[in-house]
Amino acid sequence: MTPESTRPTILERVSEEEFERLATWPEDSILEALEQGEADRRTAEAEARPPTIEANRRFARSR
Amino acid sequence: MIRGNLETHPFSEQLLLGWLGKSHGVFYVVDYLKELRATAVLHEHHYVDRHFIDDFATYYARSFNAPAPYCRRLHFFDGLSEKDINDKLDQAYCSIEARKRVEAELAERYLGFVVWRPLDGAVLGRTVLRTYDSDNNRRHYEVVRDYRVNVAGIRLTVRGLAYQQQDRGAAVCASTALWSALQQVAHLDGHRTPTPSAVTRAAGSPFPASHGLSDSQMAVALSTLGYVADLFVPVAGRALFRAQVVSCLLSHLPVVLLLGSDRASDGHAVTVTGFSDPPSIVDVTVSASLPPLRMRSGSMDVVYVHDDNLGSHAHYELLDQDRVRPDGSIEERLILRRGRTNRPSPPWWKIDELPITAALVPKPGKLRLPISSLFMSLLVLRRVFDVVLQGMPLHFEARFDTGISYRDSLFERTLAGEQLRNFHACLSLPRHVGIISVHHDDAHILEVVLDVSEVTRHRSRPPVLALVCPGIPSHSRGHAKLVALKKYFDCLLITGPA
Repeated sequence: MTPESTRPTILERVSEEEFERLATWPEDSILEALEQGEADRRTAEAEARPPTIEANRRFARSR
Repeated sequence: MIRGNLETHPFSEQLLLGWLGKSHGVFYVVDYLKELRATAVLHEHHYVDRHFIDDFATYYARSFNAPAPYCRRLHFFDGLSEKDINDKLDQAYCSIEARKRVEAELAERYLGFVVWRPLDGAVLGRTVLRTYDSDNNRRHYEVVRDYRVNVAGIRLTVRGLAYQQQDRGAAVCASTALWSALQQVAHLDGHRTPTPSAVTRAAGSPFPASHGLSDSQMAVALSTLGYVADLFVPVAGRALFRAQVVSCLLSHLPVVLLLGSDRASDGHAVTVTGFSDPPSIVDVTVSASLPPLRMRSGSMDVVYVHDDNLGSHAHYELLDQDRVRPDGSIEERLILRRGRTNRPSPPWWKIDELPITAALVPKPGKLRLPISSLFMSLLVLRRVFDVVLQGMPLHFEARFDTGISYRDSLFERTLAGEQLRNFHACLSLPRHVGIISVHHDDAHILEVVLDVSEVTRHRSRPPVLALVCPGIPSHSRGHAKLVALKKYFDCLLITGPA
């Protein structure tokens, strides 16, 4: 358990009014983060190459 | 002491070397059993092994000097003397209750078994031995299952994964590595495990088994047997490769490492069954143009491996090695060191280092999305949680799970009890789910449960089924923000207690 004095503000209890206000719909900053995340995904998918490995290698090693 | 088909002995190195001969595999098994503190051996003189009998029918029966079509089996126990075992067997047949009691007492001391094949130079057939203990959760043996063992009317259980020595007739390393891997995946998928010969046949190679298999033939074998193959390579990034291996293992999926060689043209294949706790949280680069993901799994450096050249759950190490190509460019290689550097190597094993060319992962037929898809989802969600949990440096992990197993795991979490019943009542999960876990230091903050039953078509909204947040107290600021996110994703939410 995080001690109260060092607990991040995000983990602090809030009043009912504040809770209701924050819980209505994601803040613009969260929606922007989702858009940014989707842009990241598209970038990574565009850069990704199908995995290729050395052709014709036989896996048959004994010792 | 001999009685009928059964014979008991005190465990000793000399006894086993005398029976099984001297080879890397036998030396390894003996050392492994010494580590497990084996004290007694129960020897079954006549044992018909389904896997060997299929190899016999396919290959050995038509040899000029055919071996016997049956095997022997050796069972190992710790903390019991030869006399203890005989006394318990004497008691077991008195009544149903006595049998149950003896089964429970023997099961507690049971270390597993070795099928002793009548093959010179490849005596170690299907071998299932208990793993070492977890050493305070440092060792993760994730690719193991229960094996039920019937011996003289007594039923025992051992948790491990079957290994066998390469016989070079019915199967070489490629088939054997897949065979070990499918011991787990077939079990996960509710199927009977294929034999080594069945794996080789399924590959459709026009050459004899001793020729080995190519990577594509190995993938064809999986497909023919009803499984899905996933493939990823270290060239895409060494930390990413390590993290993907851990993701597969945490998903209870075995990883077949395909290994090259600087000296020989043929390669080797081994099956990874576990890993040692990665030492640090590191940057994992998925794309050079994006900020890296912070993941502990990216630093994984010790794996436990079934190697048909050596033995089961062998401690091997991963190391980065750069090599200058003829054109002056640098080739970033990931190397599997077959051995350990934290203690002296045994005199009978010379440590070598083989470059990893790829990881081939057999998966149940319904788990169609590649492991890389989880990392793509992670790229989306990390931006969100960086904002929602602002001020808390986060690191992440990703894995697959089954819906049933994930539900079970919820009972081990500290979640708000008053929400839990309703959460379970409302939660509907597919057979397989993706799990993105979010951590702050050593604290487990939350998990995102994803639908991975098909590709994502709704690009702007990841297929989130639930947010499970043991590290977010109920009625906190974080809880409120997650309620908003739950509305956006149209998913379920559960938090920790207030």
